[in-house]
Amino acid sequence: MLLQFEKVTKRYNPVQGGEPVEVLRGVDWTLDAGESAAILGPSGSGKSTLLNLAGALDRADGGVVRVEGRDIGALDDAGLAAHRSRTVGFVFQLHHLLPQCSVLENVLVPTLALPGGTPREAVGRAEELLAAVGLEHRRNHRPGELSGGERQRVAVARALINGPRLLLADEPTGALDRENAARLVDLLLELNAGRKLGLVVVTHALEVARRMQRVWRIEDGRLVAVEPAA
Amino acid sequence: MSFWRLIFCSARFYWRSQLGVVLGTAVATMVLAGSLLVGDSVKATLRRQALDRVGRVESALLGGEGFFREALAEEVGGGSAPVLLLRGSAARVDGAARVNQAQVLGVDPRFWNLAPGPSGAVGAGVWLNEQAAAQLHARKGDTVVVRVEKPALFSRDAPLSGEESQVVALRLEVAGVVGDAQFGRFGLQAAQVPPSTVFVPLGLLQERLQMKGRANVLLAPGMSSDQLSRVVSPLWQLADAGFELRALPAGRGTELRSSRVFFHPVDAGRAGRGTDALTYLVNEIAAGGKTVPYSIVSATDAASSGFLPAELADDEIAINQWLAEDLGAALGDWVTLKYFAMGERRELEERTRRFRVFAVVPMDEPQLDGTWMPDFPGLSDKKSCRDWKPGFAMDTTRFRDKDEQYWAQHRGTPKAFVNIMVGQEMWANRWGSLTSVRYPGGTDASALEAELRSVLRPESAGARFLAMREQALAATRAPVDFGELFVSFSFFLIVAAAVLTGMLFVFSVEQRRSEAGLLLALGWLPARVRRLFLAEGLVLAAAGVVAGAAAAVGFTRGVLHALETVWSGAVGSVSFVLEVRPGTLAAGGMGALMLAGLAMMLAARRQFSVSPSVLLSGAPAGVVARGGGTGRGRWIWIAGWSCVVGAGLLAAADAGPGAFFGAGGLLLCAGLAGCVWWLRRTEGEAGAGVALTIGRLGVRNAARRSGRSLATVSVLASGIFIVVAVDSFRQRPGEGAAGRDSGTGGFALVGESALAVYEDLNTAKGREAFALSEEVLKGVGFVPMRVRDGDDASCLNLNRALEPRLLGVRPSDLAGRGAFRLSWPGNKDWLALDEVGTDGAVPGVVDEATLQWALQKKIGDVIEYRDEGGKPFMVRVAAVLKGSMLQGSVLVAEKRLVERYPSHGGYRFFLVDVPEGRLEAVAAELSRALQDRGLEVVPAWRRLAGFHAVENTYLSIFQVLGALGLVLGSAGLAVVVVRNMLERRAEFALLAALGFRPGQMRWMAFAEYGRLIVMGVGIGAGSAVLAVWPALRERAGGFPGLELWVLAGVLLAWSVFWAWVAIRLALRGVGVGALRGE
Repeated sequence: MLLQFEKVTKRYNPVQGGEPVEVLRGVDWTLDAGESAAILGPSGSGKSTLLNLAGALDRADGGVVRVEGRDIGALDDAGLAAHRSRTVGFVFQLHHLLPQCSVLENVLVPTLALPGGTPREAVGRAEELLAAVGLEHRRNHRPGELSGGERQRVAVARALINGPRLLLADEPTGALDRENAARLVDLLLELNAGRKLGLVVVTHALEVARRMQRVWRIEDGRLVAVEPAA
Repeated sequence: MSFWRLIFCSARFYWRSQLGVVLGTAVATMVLAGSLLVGDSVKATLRRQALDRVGRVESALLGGEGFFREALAEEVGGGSAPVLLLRGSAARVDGAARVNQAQVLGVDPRFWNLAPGPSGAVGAGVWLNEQAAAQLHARKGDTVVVRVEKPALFSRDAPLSGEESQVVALRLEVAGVVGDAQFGRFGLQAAQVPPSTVFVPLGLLQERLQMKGRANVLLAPGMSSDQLSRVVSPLWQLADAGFELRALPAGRGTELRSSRVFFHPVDAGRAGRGTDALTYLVNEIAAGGKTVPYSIVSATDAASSGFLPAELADDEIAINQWLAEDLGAALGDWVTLKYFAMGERRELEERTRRFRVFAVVPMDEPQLDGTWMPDFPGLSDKKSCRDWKPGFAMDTTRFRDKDEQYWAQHRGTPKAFVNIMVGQEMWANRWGSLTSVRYPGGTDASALEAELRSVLRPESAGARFLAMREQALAATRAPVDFGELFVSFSFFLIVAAAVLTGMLFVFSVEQRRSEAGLLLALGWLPARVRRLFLAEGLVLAAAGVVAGAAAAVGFTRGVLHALETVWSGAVGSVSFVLEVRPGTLAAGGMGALMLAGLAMMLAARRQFSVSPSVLLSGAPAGVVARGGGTGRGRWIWIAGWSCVVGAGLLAAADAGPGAFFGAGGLLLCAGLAGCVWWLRRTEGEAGAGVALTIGRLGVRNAARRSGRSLATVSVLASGIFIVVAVDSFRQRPGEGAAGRDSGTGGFALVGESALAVYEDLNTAKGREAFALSEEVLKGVGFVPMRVRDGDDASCLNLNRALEPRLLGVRPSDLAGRGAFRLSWPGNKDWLALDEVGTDGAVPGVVDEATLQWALQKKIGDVIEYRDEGGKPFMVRVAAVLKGSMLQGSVLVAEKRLVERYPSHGGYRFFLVDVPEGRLEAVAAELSRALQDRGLEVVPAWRRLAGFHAVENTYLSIFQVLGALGLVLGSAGLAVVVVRNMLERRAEFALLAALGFRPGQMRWMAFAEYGRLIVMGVGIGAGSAVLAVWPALRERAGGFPGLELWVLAGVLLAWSVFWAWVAIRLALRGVGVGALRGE
């Protein structure tokens, strides 16, 4: 089992005090390696929170989140950083590319977090990934010179540079037009299938969700399975 | 891709948004490195001045009170130059300008050859240095009158030293003005302001002073003082030490005499087997009711004299036949001698001693002749004894014709002889106990001279070898490091720049929170992300350092220019050299870089403490919930009130300005703690039922960014506190200067003369000597002081005082008046100055500022001096004077000074008590009457104010640099305003969409910043008022400090202006379009 949520809860405290808002209420959920899943739900329902917990960007207030059987809530800061660096790859709604770096450098940024810095072979791997996402000809361009779809594909390449087992995508097509969105989903599924990655996509778009093997909806802080036909 | 590549890429990409970091660091570098360069420049200036002062001279032989042969220079060789160095005064011939303290140098081409630069243009004739030329407004071709005292080989303090006018006036035409490179700065003492010097041809000066072939300074190039000593010693002749071997008439032998009349046996040694003699002028010889006035009597060793009975006892006398007949005295009769003994200050005390006549020496005794009498000035050269002017009041009417006849026939032939021991008991004085040593006939004069030369040393004649260059350079190690001084003066400016740097860095980092979130999401550790941003900041700061280093040179140039002009009060008239040392620039830049790094680190320390998801969401900093609010609030509350209580306790203790300054500082901290509390309280009022108004909305916005708001208030409050509170230490000229415990000691006038005054100006006789009006001087009292020249250790001298000037004072003069605020451990008073320590150290009193800053010593420390014989002695600092006008000198008991410098004569420093309302008349009368002595009289308060001006100038520098820091702080405020406004353009756009008018929005923004400005100015000014309270309280004439409030008002207006400008700029063009970003 790649990812496992056991009775996971998450609360947010309002800035000016008052009652905490509980967005996740005892979520139980699993994802296997090579499996793809979509999380649906209205704004504020906790979709991104779920993804952040899976990616160790946040800590759960209750329950256990396991990745490859390891309780990531028990990890210290260094352990969490290593987890984010090696096990998880993120694709955000906004690409968050570093404007000061070239495309190739952006893909290589995660390797700087590895002990000893960027390995020599990483450049070759980055070039391969850029080729895989169809952007090898743009390797020396700056993010500002790319289209929205291209930027997001760079973000996907960046997410894969350290060879993660779990790819988390938070509204990856939210800022793209229909055509670019479709191409990106194709890419994600190719990677999911070709590299046996676990893929979790948080989205509002039903057409994106339908292409995943499993679809879940967050309702009242809990995950509810949705039939593929839905 | 590497970590550093990412840093450089980021730095290059974001340089615009990080421009503030570059500028802030540039300012910090400019000020820090610039301040250090000021220190280097001052050092370089002092060094240049020192080298200009000594030229090519390495060492010097100083004659002390004596004069050696000019030919000694030739004998020493190596380009040595003889100089006749005298004190004097100089005036324009029309009397329009004068220099009272002039250095008069008799020089020849050998002197000019030692100049630091080419001096080919300087030829024969009279030259002035620039200082003298400026004071006299003299140019080539003008005529000046130079007055110098005819050098006295025989101290004028001594009995029988004569009383003829000794001032020689020279009317000279100026041949030109010599600059520093031509040796215009020459002098023996280190001071940044050179003495006013008149250069007179050596031959001319020697001739006019009847000192032909004599000099008192020998300048040697290329020779250390030790080498010079080794070269001079074998060349040192009797004549150089003021001795002379004279053949006695008729081959009766040889006599050793001194041009100083009296000498100590140790001086001549007992090299030869001579007979000591001490000859004196007694006032009267009486026997059997008959008297003989004013007669020469000699004391000698009867046994070795060859003509006196060897068994002459101590209470016995041998009289000559003429006296025996005149008095009708016979063997066994008693005769009485009346004579003057020398007291302090040339006070003569007439004493008597009785002797029984043991022998009568016949007038044809070959040994009985006039050679026994030394060359008493005012006696030896007179034809008639009625013309005698021995230096004390003599009743010449007592001379009879037979006395005149005796003088005409026998000159100084002694009328009586006593034993040497008895004579020395009666007439020995601090100058010596012998007037001659007589050697019998047949003595080989050459062998005797050789023998005497072998025991005579230059030092024993009062001469001294001076390592001139070495000491000049040592003196340039200024006691106050101007680099450190300006760094401390600029402290607030530097801190303000650092705060601004940190604040602007955080602004930039905040803009890139999502980038930080991404890196965290990609597996970076928070510390690594922080390091990335910090390194990027440092790269940009390094660029700022480069720019700041260039600007530092300009800053230094500006400060030096200010020190030469508006701040010249601190350093006198100095033309500074700009010294740019790369090492200093690098050190300053490194310091600024570290400071900027620290500021950025502190400012950004909490930037990435939230989860990556929050950072990725792009939510602005400061809008997430804080933990532990209640606990921290309690600590703020406790800290604030602790400061208030501490301030109250300190103020209640009333321990002077320092305590009040501390109390003010605590109140400032309390105010800032109160500000934190208010911001937190305001932050929490949302939803608490507080009615919302436009103003209230603005105030609540200030609380949203409490860190920025607090930084703004802190910079303003601290700046105003520093600038205003420092004013409390400012000295007001003349305030409270009349009291005996004030800095003037209650004296009204202070006088310094170029030439010594030997007369006691408190007596009618002394006043008469200078034709001083008794009417004008009625009720006027003088405290004269002896001056042993040395280095000026006052705050007016930037050089290190190696051997400070000594002032010799009679302690009872000051004790009786209770003058000055004397702090002497054990509650001793001035009278304790007469006590000598068990270690032989002479107690000394030094002004507190002189001790602390110039000498960098404390009570109990010693200062080493050399006495007239070259022996070291210690002056122990026994007490200090608080804030006195006697800065720069060490006061010792007059008695102790003359013990160490017996040849020293007269007084050159005077404290004058003047009855109220007659200050100007007395000053004018003294200046007129003692013009020949080069007396310069100034009101005591003005002298004190001169020292205060130095202190005040330093305070002004501090205030100006502090105010610059405040200006920077205000600029920081403007940046904060603009930044906040830009961040909230969407909010304002929304308000615009909701129908708010631009004026309303500006008012809302201004309510936010106006409150912060008022708080900053209020806290700063309020705590400053407490700090300056003693100064305010002590000032007469009601509640003063108008300038203080004007200053606070200007600063308030300045801050308001910047805030308003920033608000207008930031809100210009705010429209609904800004909402699209939402």
